[in-house]
Amino acid sequence: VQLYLKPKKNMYSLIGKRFQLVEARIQGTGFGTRCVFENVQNISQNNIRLFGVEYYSSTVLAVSPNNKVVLPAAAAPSLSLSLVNSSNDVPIESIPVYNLVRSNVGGFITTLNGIEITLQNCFVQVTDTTGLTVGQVALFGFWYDYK
Amino acid sequence: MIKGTITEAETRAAVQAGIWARFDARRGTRRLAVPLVPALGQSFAQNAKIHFNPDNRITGSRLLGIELVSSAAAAKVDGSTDNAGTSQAPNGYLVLCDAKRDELITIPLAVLNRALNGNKIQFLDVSLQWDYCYIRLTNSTVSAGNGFLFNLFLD
Repeated sequence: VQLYLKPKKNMYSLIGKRFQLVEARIQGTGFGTRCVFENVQNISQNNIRLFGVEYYSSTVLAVSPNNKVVLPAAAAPSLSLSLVNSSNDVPIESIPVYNLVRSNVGGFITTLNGIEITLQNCFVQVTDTTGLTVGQVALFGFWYDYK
Repeated sequence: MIKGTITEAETRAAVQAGIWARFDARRGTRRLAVPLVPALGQSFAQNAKIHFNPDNRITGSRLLGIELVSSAAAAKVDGSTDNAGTSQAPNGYLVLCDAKRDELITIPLAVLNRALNGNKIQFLDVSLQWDYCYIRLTNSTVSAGNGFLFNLFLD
């Protein structure tokens, strides 16, 4: 699978057609703890292709759509994101969440080439304890379209 | 295989497919500034869905870009209402719906502030039913006399 993590020379921006906020509740702060995503009806049917992904701290949205407190900006370097498909293949493994913050990368969305994912199989992994509080949520934005 | 960059041909293909556009591309042929303000003397309640007024200039058009205008860029949203765009943005999100009430885009307001995103507007390509679209404040209310202002790029 070829994954386009950024357009050449960073000259291009993603054109969004569908976008969904997704959140993973922090289950623990021990190294390697995996936190799975809350189910979202729009994208939980194995029927989407993912074109971009972003991470948001409480600086961007303080409380999630499910009324959970969002992790602070200081937590971003403590997490990584793995995207998994229905066959449990991991086309994106442990990408640092900090790099998915748009304001950290010149305002560009991290782009993907329409990979297929299964939300229930994707997870966020703890790599450090800084900024993390059990029960708060890591908030991501998925730019997608239906297959 | 993971690649950090792609070829010119692959980039052209993505642009032709409508997936990417140059970050400085002109989006749409029309621009429209749309305020969202509470009714006179009222406030935006926390967790309420605050809908936009019907607008046929938007419904039926393609929305190709959107920006939340910061209070630094415009102090007032409609001549008398203060712009709460910068201070209140982290407290809510915008939902864009089509005519079938499908929620196409659910995006935090702060992401739409270009000052926080390398001076880039958010590129979109969606057709909306504007009065079905709304914002929801999950962490606060917007008091009377305050509102939001959006810049829309339409075709």
